[in-house]
Amino acid sequence: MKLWDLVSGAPAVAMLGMCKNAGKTTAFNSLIREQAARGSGTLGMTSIGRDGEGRDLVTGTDKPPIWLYEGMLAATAEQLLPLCDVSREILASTGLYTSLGEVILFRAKSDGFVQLAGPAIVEQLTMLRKQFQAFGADCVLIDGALSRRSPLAGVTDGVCVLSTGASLDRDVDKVVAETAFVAELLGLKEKTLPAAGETASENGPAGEEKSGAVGPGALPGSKVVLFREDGSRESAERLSDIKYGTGEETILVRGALTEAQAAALVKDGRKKARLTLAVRDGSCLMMRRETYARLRGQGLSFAVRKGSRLAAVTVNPFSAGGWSFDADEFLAKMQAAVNVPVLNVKTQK
Amino acid sequence: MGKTMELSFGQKEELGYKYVWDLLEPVCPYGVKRLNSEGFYGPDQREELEKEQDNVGFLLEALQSDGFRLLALRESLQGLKDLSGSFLRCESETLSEVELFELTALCRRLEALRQKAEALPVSQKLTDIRFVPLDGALKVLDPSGGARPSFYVEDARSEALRAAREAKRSAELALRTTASGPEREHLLAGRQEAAKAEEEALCAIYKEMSEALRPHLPALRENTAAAGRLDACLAKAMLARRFGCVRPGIGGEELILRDAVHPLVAAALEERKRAFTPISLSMPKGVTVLTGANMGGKSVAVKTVVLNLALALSGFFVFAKAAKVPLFDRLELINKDLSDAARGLSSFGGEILRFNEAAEHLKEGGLSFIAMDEFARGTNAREGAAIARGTVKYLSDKNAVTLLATHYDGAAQFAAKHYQVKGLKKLSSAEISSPASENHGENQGYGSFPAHGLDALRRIENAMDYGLIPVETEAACPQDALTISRLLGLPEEILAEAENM
Repeated sequence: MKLWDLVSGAPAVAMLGMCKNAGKTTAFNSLIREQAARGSGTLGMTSIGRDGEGRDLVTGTDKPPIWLYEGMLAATAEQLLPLCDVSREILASTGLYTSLGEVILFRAKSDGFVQLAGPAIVEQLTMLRKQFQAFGADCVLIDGALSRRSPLAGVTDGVCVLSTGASLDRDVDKVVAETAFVAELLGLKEKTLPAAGETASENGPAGEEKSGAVGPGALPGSKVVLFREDGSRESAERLSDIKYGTGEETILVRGALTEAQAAALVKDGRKKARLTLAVRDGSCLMMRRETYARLRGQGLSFAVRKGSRLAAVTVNPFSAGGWSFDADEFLAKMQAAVNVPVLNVKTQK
Repeated sequence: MGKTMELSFGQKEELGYKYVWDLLEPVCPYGVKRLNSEGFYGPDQREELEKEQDNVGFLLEALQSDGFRLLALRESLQGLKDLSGSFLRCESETLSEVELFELTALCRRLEALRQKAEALPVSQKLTDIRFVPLDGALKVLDPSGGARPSFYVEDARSEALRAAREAKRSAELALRTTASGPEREHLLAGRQEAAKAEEEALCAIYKEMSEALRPHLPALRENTAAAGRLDACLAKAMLARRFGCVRPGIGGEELILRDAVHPLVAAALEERKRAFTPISLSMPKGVTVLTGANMGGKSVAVKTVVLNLALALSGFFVFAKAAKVPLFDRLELINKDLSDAARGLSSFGGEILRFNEAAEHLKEGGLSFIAMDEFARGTNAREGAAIARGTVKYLSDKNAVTLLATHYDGAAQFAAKHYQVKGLKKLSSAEISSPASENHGENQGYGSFPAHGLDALRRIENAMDYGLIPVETEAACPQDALTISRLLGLPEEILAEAENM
């Protein structure tokens, strides 16, 4: 199975990595190659932050640079343009800025290497995607940052691909378990919450609401809102102030749900079998895998207001530290732990 | 234009000049630059000021008769980027591909702007707003002659580029079908060489292009200056249209305002459903003294005069029914200044020092405008009145138009003109002490004014006629302080004591 088949049709694809050297760029290149082989549609690409260097700036290991094909669109910071050896037609200066200069949108007039650095802010990424579309891109590949912490909200109408590898840990089982946990967060079901009469601008955490990242349906601006079965609701500034336990309920937490908050929830002694905890997207759940598992064990359900679709997990059995896993065993264990296709992009041709 | 023609930031804010400035809506960076650099027009710039007024006037007319097309023209100003840094670099350096792209896009936009402007009859009337064709610069940037707003150097531009790209392309084609192995490495190495050659060829072309663009820089700058001036004049015209501003006459030595308004105060009044009472006055050379009751709007009148004068001298139309404004060499504002305390001066001391400066400037020749709000108020009434009177006498034969607001009696003795706030209408004692007859039921627009004071304020606003009337120079100041204090609710015991003195 080709990776491209798993994502094709999506307006945007976010590439996420569990760690450095997880094979994210290899997966990125696979998608580009496979899309080019189809010969239809226009692919655009950018990066959250910087990517595509020939050598990893943090670990110093060799990194596959990004190779694109004639006709594709790319957006990168002005200072990285001289490092792209593809012949190019400059289409637009986007008005979006990175520490490496303004993001410039160009069309490749040849095949070749590119270095990508795009905006790291969700709102800007959304604006950039619109510009890509204006120049005819059907799909925009976004090279995400590390792990689930990268903002997913910019691609929630699209899909994501999660790359993992031996670099994460020497213990293959731990790598599989951690990856499966992130995969579960990325695949959380979407839950629509009743729209409230009040507007978020009244007192809300404005940034999040204004960006539209929380999605449609204005909700009162408090940090935490409890929605009860009978349609009533209660707001609070802290999760610990919410008194739940009267029936079918949902707690919406705006922004991140931290490990400390999650740990306190574990110990509050209340029944959670009919409770759902909703956040903006999977990247907002900043708790440890063990804490998440204990909450699930207590019956708590998790949901997101804007779901992303995890299309595939890719594995890289080789680590930057020199150790490696048995490729088949790693693949099999990973496949058993998640319910999306798992691919070894290193062996995919 | 002298140094004293500049207003400090604090003065601009205090006067409401900044408020009016913020109402302007220039849409391109060149318009913002033009407005920022314009400043006040001095006596030797009469022609330039009148040209500016002509432009604003023609655009104001066009907004009324051909508004739709004019606003479409304004829209094409919106996309213009400020490339003055690249213009400067182009004079001596090689521009980067992004700069060349930006220049291409700017030239295309300016060309579109020129065509739109030429189709508008009003553009024939405008002075110093001329767009010249940029086909010369565009031919350098895009010799293919297309209308592409993007930037790409075609292979045909140089033999070196063509050869490099051909080598690169053939390697790339081969790479598409060569997945791995030494053959692939070989192709990649060959391609890398070709990519390097392509980059070198492009660098040479960028250098050539930058040099070829140099002769076209004056045309580019002329067009961006025209765009800036069009944007700035259009912003002024739109402001004039929105507020019904009129073109002030220029020249002479008498400052005349008919039914002048202060837009910031008017807006604040409107919020509490009250109207600004327009003021009219003519100020010949010499001193015009303005007297009136406390809370009668003397300070607002001074601000209204100075603001409209400052606007007129910066090429704006004014907030009045009619106006005539002399071209002054300098504007002197002598009022309290928050920075005085920091400089170790009392408000009285600050005023005196500022007056000394203004007096010093008078010796340099030229016509001054001097505004003094409650001059020497910071000292005792007897001496303050004497200083005010002396100041009026001193300035009466100087080459200056002076406006001096005061509540001191006798200050107008040596004045050329004396205006008085019409002041409190005749009130019955019941009206003075009883609660306000009308209840607005809301406190909108009064901010955090305490509720008990609100009634009193409304009573004063109801009873006060803020209009100005010319009176004899000897006319006494209205003695309304006790009535005003009573309206504001000063304890009756104090008032009784004061009346007995």
